[in-house]
Amino acid sequence: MQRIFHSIAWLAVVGIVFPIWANSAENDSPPSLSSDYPAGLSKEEIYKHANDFYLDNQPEKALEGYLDLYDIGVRNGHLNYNIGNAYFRLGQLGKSILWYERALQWLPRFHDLRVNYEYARGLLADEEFRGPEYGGTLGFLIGVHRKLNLRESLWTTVFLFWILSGLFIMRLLLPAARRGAWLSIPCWIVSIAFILLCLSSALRIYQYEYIKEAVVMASAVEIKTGPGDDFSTSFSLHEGTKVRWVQEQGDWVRILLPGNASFTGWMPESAVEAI
Amino acid sequence: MNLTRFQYWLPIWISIALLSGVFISAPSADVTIQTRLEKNVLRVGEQTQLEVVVTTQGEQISQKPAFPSIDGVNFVYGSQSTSQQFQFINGRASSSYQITFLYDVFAVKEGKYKVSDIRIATGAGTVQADPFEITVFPGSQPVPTRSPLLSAPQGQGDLNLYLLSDASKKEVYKGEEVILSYDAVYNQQWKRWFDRAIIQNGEYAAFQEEKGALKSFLSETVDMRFKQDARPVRISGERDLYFQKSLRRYILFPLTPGDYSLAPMTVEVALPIQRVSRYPYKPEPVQLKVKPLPEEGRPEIFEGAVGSFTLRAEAAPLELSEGETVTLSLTLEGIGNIKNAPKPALPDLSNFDQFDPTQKEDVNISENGMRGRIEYSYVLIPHDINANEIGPIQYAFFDPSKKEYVVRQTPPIRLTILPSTEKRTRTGSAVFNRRLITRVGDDFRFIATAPSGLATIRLPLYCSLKFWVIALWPILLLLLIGAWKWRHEFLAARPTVAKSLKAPKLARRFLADARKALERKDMESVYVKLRKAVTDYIDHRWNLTSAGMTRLELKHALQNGGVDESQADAVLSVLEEFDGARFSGAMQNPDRIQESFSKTEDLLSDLMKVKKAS
Repeated sequence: MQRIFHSIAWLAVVGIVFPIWANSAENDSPPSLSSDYPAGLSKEEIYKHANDFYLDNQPEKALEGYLDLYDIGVRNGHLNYNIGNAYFRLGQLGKSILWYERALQWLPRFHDLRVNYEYARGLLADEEFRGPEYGGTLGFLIGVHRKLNLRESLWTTVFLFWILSGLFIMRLLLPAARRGAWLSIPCWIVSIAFILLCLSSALRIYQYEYIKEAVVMASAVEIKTGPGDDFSTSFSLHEGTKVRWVQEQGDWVRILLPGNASFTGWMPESAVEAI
Repeated sequence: MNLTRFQYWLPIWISIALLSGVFISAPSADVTIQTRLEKNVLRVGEQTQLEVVVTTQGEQISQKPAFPSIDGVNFVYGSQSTSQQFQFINGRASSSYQITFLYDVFAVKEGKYKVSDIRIATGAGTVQADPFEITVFPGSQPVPTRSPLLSAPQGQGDLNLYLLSDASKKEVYKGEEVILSYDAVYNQQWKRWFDRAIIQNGEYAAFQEEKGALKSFLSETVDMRFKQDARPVRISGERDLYFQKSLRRYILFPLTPGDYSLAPMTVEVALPIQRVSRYPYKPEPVQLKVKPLPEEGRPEIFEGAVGSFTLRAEAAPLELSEGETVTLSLTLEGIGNIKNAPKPALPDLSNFDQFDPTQKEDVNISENGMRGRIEYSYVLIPHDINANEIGPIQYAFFDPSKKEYVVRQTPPIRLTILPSTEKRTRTGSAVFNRRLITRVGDDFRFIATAPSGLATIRLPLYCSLKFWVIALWPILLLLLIGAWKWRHEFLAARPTVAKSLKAPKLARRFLADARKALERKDMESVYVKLRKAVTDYIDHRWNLTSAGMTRLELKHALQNGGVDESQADAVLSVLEEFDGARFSGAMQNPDRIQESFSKTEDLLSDLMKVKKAS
C-alpha cells in the first residue's frame, strides 16, 4: 500500500512539474531590428522605448517598436492591443480593429481592450449584423465560453480532467461502504462541467483552425457577385468591417458577413487582411 | 276534350315562343358609345381619367375605340372591363354587352380642345361618341420635351424605349456634389407594363457596373427603380406621349480636377415582346469638368469641406463645480459630403481636461443628394473656476453655389464654475461631503505597459506533445491503480496463490535474518532461521504443513509438487543437517555454518526454479 502511495505521489509531482516545464520561456534570441531604435536593444528595452514614444504622443514610432517585437516572434495579447492603439492614434481604423481582434483572441476579458475595441467600432461606417442574444443557462454558458481564450479553455479542461481522475481514483481505492453521496455528487458535477468544457474547447479549436475571419482595410470596397471587376456589385463595405473569409480564387477572396450569411460576395484580396 | 289537348300543347308553345324570342332578337345589334370624363379643365402636366362605355345588343366588340389625334391632349389606354345583361320582356329574352375602356388623359399643352371623333367599328357600321371639350390652362411645370439624343437599345430595332443619362451639373469644383442620373424614357404603349413591374417590384431593369469608371470620385448609389412614379414627357417629332422613369442616381464627389467622360454602367431593360426579353442599353457618356478649388480667399482653417453647412455649439450644464463634467455638443448640418466632412477644430481648451469625442450621424442619401447632420459630443472637465468660457468655434468650407469660401463661427459659451463641493461643505459632516462616483465616459484607454506584454503565449496548445502528456497522465495513474486493485482482489479470492507468490519473499527474509544472526555470532538462531527459510518456503510454495510430516510424506509431497527426487532428497538432507548441527555442537564451527548457509541459498535457488506441477 505504501508503495502505491509513493507511486501516486511521484506521478502527482510529475503532473505539477510538467506544466511548469511546458510553460517555460522559449529560447530568448537577441532581436534584430529594422527600425530607428538603437541597435542591440533587448526585447524589454524595445518595449519600454515604444511605450515611452506612445506616452510622448509619437504613436508612429511606438508602432515601429511594437511591430519589431511582433516581427521577432512575440505573440501576446497585450502587444497586439498596443499595436491596435497605436494604429488608432494614427487614424488607421481598419488596422486598429484588426489588431484589437487579434488581441481579443488572447485577452477576451481585458476591459481596456473591450473599451477601445467598442470605441473604434463606434466609428465604423457599416452597421454590422449582430448574432442572436441568448439568456438563461444557455446565455451563461455562451458567456463563459466567450470569456475564455483557447489556451485557458484547454487548461481548464485539463484541470477538470485531473480533478475527475482524482475523484475516480478515490472511488477505486475506497471500500464500497465508505463511498457516499459526498463523493458521487462532486463526481457528477465535475463530469458535467468537464463535458461542457470539452465541447467549448472543441468549438474553439474548430473556430481557430477552420474559421478564418478578416477585416476590410480599404476605405470603401464594392463586393462583387464573382471574382472579378466585370461582375456586378452586390453591396459595398467600408474600412474596419469584420468579414468571414470563405475561399480564395486568384487575387480575389470570397467573403460573407458574420450574422447574415446572405450577404456574400467577392472582393480583392488587397482590400482585406486576415485576423 | 279540346281543353285537354290545349293543356297538353301549352308548355310546348311557351318553350317555342321563348326560344324564338332569343334567336330572333340576337341579330338586331344596337351599338351605343358613351364617354365620361372625370374633369374637363386641367393644367399642363395634370392628368385625368376618361371612361368610354360601349354597349351592344348581342354583339361582342374586340377592338378598342379609335381616338383623334389632338396636339395638346394625349389619351393613354389603361384597362377595360366587360359585363353582360340578360332581359326578359313580355316573354322575349334579350342580352346586352357593356365594355368599359379606361384611358388616362394627359394635358401637355395649353388650349381648348374639342374631342369629337371617338369612334368604334361594329358589324353594323361605325359608331361615334358625342363630342366633348377639354380646356388646358398653363401649368406650374410644363411637360418637358426631350431631345432625340437618347440612348437606343444595342443591336435592336426601335422599341420606343430610350435611356437618358444626365448630370445635375456639367462643371463642378473638386468635392462638390454632382448627381448622375439614369432614366428610362418609354412610349405610352409600355406604360401598363412598367406600372405593373414597379408595383410588383419586378426586375424590369438590371445594371452592370463598369470597372473603375468612378475611381476619381467618392460615390453613393441610389436605386430609383421602385421609387417615384413615371412622369409624362414629349419627344421632338413624336406625336405619342412618352414617360420618364428614374432608374438610378449616383451621388458623386470628385476627388481630383480634370475632364471626365462618365459612363459607369450599362442597363438591361426587360420588355414583353412576344415573351419577356432583356434589351441592353449603353448610356451616352456624360461629360463633366472638375475644377480645382480657388486659392483666392481660402481661410487658414479650411480643411477641405465643400458644400453648404451650418455649425451650432451647445454646452450643458452651464453652471457646475470644479471637477464636474460639461458636455460640449457641436452640430454640423448641411448639404454636401457631410459623411466625410472634416471635424470642426476646437478652440483653446487648455483650462479643461478633454476626452475624445463621440459622434452621432444622421445622414440621408437620396436622389436629391446627401444631406444631414453630425453631432460631436466632447466631455470636458474644468480645471478650476477660471475655466469659464468655451471660445468661439469656427468652421470653414467652400460654398460652390456662391463660389466662395465661407467661415461659420459660433458665439462663445459662458460657464459658471463654482468651487468644488468638497471645499464648500468642508464644515459639514463627512457623510455629507461624499458624492456618488460616476463614470464620465468610456473613453479611449491607454496602452498596456506591464512586461507581461512580452511573453509569447501560444494559443494552440493542442499541437504540442507536452500538452497531451500533461493532460493525459492521470490516465496512466488510473490504469496503474486499476491493475493493482484487480491484483489485490484476485489474490484475496485465491489465498493459496497469494501464499505461493509470497514464498520467495519469506525465504529471502529468513535468509537475511540468518545472515544478521551470523554476524552477531548467534549460532543457534542461524540454524533456526535457515531451517525456517527452507520450511516456510516449502509450506507457502506448495501449501504444505511440513512441521507435522514424516520424511517420507514430505518427500512425496515435494515430488507431487513438481520437485524431482534428487532435489527432494537434498531438502531432506539439509533439514536433517540443521537438526543435527543444533544438537551436536557443530554449530560452534564457523566454517561449517558458512557452508550450511551457502548450501541453503543454493537449495532455495534451485527450488525457486522448479515449475509447480499443475
